Amino acid sequence: MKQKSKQTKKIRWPLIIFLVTFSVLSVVFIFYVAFLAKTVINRCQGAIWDIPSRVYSAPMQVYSGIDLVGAGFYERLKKLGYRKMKSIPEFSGRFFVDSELIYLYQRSIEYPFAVDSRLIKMFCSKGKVVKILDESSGKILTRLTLEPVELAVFYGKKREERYLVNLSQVPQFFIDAVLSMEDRRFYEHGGLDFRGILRALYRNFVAGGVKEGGSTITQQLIKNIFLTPERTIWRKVNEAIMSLIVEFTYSKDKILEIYLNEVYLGQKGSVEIHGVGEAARFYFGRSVENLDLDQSALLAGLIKAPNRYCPYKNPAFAVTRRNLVLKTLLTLKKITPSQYEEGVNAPVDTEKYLYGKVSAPYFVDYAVNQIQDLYPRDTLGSLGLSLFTTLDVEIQGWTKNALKFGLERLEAESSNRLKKGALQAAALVLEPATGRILAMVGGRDYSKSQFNRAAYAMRQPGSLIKPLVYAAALKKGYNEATLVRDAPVSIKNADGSLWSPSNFAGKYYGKVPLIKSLAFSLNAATVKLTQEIGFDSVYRLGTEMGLPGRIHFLPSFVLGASEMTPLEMAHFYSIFASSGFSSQILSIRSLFDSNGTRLPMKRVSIKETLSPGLCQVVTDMLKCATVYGTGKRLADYGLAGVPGKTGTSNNGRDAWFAGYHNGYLAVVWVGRDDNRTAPITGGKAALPIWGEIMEKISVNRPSKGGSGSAALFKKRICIDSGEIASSACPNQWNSLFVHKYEADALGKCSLHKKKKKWFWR
Amino acid sequence: MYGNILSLWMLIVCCFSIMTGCAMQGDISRKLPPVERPYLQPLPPPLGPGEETIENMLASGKNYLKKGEIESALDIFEDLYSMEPENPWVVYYLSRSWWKKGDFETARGFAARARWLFAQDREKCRMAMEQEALCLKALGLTLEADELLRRADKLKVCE
Repeated sequence: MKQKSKQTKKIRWPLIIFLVTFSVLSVVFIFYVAFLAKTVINRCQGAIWDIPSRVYSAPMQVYSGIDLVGAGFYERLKKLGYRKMKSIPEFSGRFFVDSELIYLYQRSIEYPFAVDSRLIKMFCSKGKVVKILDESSGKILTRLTLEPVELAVFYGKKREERYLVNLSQVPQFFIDAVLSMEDRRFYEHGGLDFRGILRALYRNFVAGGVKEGGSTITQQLIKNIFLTPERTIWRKVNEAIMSLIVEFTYSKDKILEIYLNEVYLGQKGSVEIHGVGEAARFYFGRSVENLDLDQSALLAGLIKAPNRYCPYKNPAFAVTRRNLVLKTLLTLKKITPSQYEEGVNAPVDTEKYLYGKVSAPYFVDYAVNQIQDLYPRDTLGSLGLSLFTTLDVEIQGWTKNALKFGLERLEAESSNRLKKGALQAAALVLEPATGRILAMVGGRDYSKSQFNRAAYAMRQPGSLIKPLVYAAALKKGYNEATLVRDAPVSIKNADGSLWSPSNFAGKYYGKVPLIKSLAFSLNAATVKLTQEIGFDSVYRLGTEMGLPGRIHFLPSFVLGASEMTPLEMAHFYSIFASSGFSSQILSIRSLFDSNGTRLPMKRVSIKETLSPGLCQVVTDMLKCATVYGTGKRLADYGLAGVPGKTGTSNNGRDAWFAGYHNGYLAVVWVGRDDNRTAPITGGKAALPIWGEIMEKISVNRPSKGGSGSAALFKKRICIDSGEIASSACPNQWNSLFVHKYEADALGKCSLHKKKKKWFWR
Repeated sequence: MYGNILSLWMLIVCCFSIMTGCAMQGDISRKLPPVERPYLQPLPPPLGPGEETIENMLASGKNYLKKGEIESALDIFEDLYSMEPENPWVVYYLSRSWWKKGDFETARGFAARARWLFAQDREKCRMAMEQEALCLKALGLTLEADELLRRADKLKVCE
């Protein structure tokens, strides 16, 4: 009996140890699988990928009567990557010009406006569009909207380019091709293909090395999303477990959809191409649903080794691989012999990467900053936002060039006083009616300095602020002909010090009408006028017009001693340009999330700030400034008589020009970042740059009006005396008056008397 | 003697001719246009979208407005406003769109501009003033709204 219990004890202990160990390991294994399951489910339910956010320009409108060359139509097509063909195009992203006929196969776009890809026929006469016909539907279009140009892409940490698609968008032959090459029993296995594993093991044993993998699509997906590519047993075990979990949790179609959006398919510079949606656009310039059989076969063949079979780098390998895929499909009876023949004989017609880069880095920074509060910059790489801006790429190009060449010319002319690269500049073009920014250049060279001077540089505007004083005077009942004394003036500051502003070159004109005082930018007369109407009325008007609250409303403010940014000056002048209606400055037209849902954004809005009649009188006075006054160099650009104002701060630290014409407003600033003096004035430094920009705009863009329609009264006055002009007056102007009695009250010019006949002398 | 008389007569005639010539020159200067500073005229801008394009876009926008698709209507009207900021109907329909959207402040701004742009047409100006008055009432500015409607009733000059 004792012997029997000893034997039983010997058998029991190992069994107990084994059972306990097995239980512990089982519990650990269960917890581990649960942890993996939670990881998989959390990841798949949230955002699986970082979708890059993109910034686009404004779209281009093409309508009857437009001059295609002047509007930059062909340049825009080049920037959009449209290829010029030798015959009528059959695929999107191409165009053909046949003397006065243009065939354009427009790409499909989803937003900001939904348009299917379509063939457009444009009838032209002498370069101008006469009729636009949608060949696909047969309808005549009143206007054609070309998709916007991509300005910038914000990638996540992994720098992956991806365009998400649903499984329903992928053609069946594409799915067949992928499954044929990567996982033929995808719809049969439960995540692990044991037959495939055994087959691979056998083939690798025979070959004496790793020649083939037995991984299923599910395993590949797990490896790409969750694991590293290292070949270790532990990784393989994790991969197998997670594959089973995924198969248990999600449907086969869902798994395939995720795979088709994840798979790596090539390289675009430093950026990886992932997903069939992006690959279709990158290689063939079309959406995935429009791919042909041979194109689908080529992309399916890329999966094994995208760089080796890349049609750009190795076209011969790409063709061989594509044909192998087609052969496999034929063998599996997924395609017919005639489809196979057509596929292998099709040329590899890839889309060469023709996209012209549009450079507007300062503007992109500014636009992105507008959504900073809701969408911080460092999150943009994962949100997949589409930001459609107000930028006009042609006007941006003209502005950049004008700035670049203007500064070089200025430095060359002053080479003994200015080092090359010493000057900086900023320029801004906007639509005063809507407040939309059309162009923004914040500096000479973004790569050297990312500081956006157009939006954030606080500089003294000098005489640029003077129209505020004259607007306040007009509001108080003054008119263009009202006389003000231009003589040395001194003002006592609050601290007791004396401020004695002087005119440029120390010249004084005595009694001058308001129009001359503004046109000639007379400091003394302006200060005197401010004293007459009261400093408070000027400051009050400034506040009503939206001048920033940080401005110190000291007497020197009326001569532009308080710092403002070019953007703030542009907003200030836009009120005069739009006949008294102030609009908020906009850089974004619309914003969409990664699902194509439009997100709320500011839209065009206006507010009545000044009376239209008053603004038109100010505009008239500014016109005189470019005919007789400090802006008369505009005549060199064919723009004399266009409303504009120069501005120069003390010792030439800042040179400005602001003006508007045909519904466009531009502001240019030139100066030094270190705020040292420079031999520059508004008329010499900023005006030429402004003239170049506006000359290009006025020749290439249709007028948007801006002449105003307030009921005003005209009278021809002598700008030296402010009285009704006679033939003896050398400088005359058709002045505008808000009230008829103001014009009727004027006498004849007493300054310039007509010469008496010789016998009466 | 006759020679002297003839010489004297010819002298008088010459002097008179010179006097008349000088006087006529003065007259000619009065007929010439005043001396202006000569400058280059700006080159004419290219043509904008024709009336037909504008009308069709306006009709499209009004259609969206009727269907209640305010965002689509605003997209079109804003594009139109960008092309023709002084087209009173575009501005008026922008006001109507913002009104329907419930942003009365913005609707008021556009209505005020439409009022100014319609200044030469009493009926349309009145229509714009009524729209503006609606916006003012919605903003709680009843007194201003009533004042505007009174001006609309007594319409002489649309300010």
